[in-house]
Amino acid sequence: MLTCDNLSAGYGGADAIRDVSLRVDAGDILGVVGPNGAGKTTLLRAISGSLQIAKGKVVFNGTDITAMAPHRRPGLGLAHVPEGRQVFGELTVAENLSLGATTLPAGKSREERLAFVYDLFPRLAERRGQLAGTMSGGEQQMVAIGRGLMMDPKLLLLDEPSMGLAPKIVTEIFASIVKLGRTFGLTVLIAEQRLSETLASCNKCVVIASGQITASGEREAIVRSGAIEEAYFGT
Amino acid sequence: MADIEAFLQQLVPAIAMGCVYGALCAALSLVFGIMRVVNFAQGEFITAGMYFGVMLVLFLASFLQFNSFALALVAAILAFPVFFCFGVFLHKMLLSHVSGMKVIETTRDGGHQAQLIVTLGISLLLQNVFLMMFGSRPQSITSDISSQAWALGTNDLMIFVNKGRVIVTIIVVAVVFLMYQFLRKTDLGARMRGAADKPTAATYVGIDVDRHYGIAFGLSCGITALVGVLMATFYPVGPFVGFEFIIVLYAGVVLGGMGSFIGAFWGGLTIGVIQQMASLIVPLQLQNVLVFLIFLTLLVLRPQGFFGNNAARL
Ligand SMILES: Nc1ncnc2c1ncn2[C@@H]1O[C@H](COP(=O)(O)OP(=O)(O)O)[C@@H](O)[C@H]1O
Ligand SMILES: [Mg+2]
Repeated sequence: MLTCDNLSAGYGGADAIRDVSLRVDAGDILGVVGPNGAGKTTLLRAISGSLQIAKGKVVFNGTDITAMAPHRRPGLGLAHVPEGRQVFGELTVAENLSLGATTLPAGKSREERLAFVYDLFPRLAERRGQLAGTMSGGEQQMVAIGRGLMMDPKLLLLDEPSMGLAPKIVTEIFASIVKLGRTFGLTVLIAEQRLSETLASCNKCVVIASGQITASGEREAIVRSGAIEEAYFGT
Repeated sequence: MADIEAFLQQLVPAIAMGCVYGALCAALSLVFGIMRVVNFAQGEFITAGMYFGVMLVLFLASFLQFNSFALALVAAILAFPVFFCFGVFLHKMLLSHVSGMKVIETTRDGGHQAQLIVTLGISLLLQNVFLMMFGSRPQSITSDISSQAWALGTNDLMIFVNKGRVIVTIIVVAVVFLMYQFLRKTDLGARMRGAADKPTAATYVGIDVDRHYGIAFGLSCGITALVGVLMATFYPVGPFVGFEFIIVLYAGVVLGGMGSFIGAFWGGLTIGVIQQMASLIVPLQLQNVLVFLIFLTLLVLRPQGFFGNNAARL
């Protein structure tokens, strides 16, 4: 589904990620875990194109998207739910979701997606007329994920969905993510600092530290390898 | 009674002028609020619209036997698409290099310094082009309608309202209303608001942010020029007339809440009415001094403007 080859990218000359290679297969829930500042957000932005890459190649479903304009990538089915949610705060929930379907033709397919999102997050249906910026953090995360789902994506990139949320809400959000992956067969990449929920949800795992991938593979193998402890505590 | 009559006689044209300012401020807010660009050349877009009107009416009158006010209305309608295209082109050639996605993530100041230089450059260039093409002698569209008035009221309390000004006011308010509905109700309008609110997130849903900023700039130019044509029916145009307006217009935009479209209209209306009424109590030269005194006072009392401070809020 997605292949990154030796990606390097950063800010103003200094690389924040170096030679990162990874693969996401259809049906995977891939957890990209690493401490704060490891380069998870940088990696996701390099994939979706909002950050220009210095070196390397990104291939999505057989298409080399390395040089493709970022706004054209969602049309291929690549949805990025950014860190900090970035909902359109001055627009209503319904407007946020409808903008999520920008790449879909108007009409039936949009209605179906909307029904799907409202079914996954019934709270959004209740609040459809509310300005997204006035909602709680958890609700905004639902709007952000819902907005990403509206385009009927093939791959959902989630950046730190737990950020700033109460534990109970985190559990709820992750339950929805697992449902998307296991029940609806959506391919998901979750970048998270938070370990417990992420490891419980994913089937594959990539560990990232100081801009480089230190381990990747099946979840159980990674958990047993001790790579996670090393990334977080430097032992 | 005579006092009230004099006051009303001043107030009615003040509201008419306020609506024109309001429409210009609303157009300005499309650039300021959606693109986050301070466009110093906006005053020259007004001037350009006014000259466009004067010249087109002269040209049309050379072979059409219509009233020149009617011709001005035709010119106003034509100005919109012509200046929309001009705006889209100008954005593509110049402004897109110093605004939008190119600068939002990569520059510390959001590209404001570069924008300042580019838009001031456009402003100076246009002023001199106008001077070369049209000279410094003020010109306007003269018509019978803009010198006729309706009498309102009874013998006890009677005021006169200029026919031309009434028609102009109705048109500019209608234009603002239509634009507001467009931003609120259409998919394109929603995409423009999304691109204004969170440009990077807009990219993630597949919105071409720079293209939508170009459309916003084109719409702003189109509305400004349309209003400019209508202004030429009652206000003489010279090469530097835009400069008289631009600072006052920014005061209106700030008062309306830094980019809210409909807020900018109300802000411009307020500023316009204050400015026009000021001549009742201060000499004409001090009109704008009073405007800014009141503007600063209102800003101290309500720093966020009348309507909050976000473009996407409308
Ligand atoms: N906008 C930025 N400008 C400069 N450096 C940045 C910027 N964003 C992140 N960085 C740096 O890049 C590195 C990786 O950051 P990031 O990708 O945000 O990590 P993570 O998402 O894993 O917390 C960090 O050292 C961070 O300081
Ligand atoms: Mg991050």
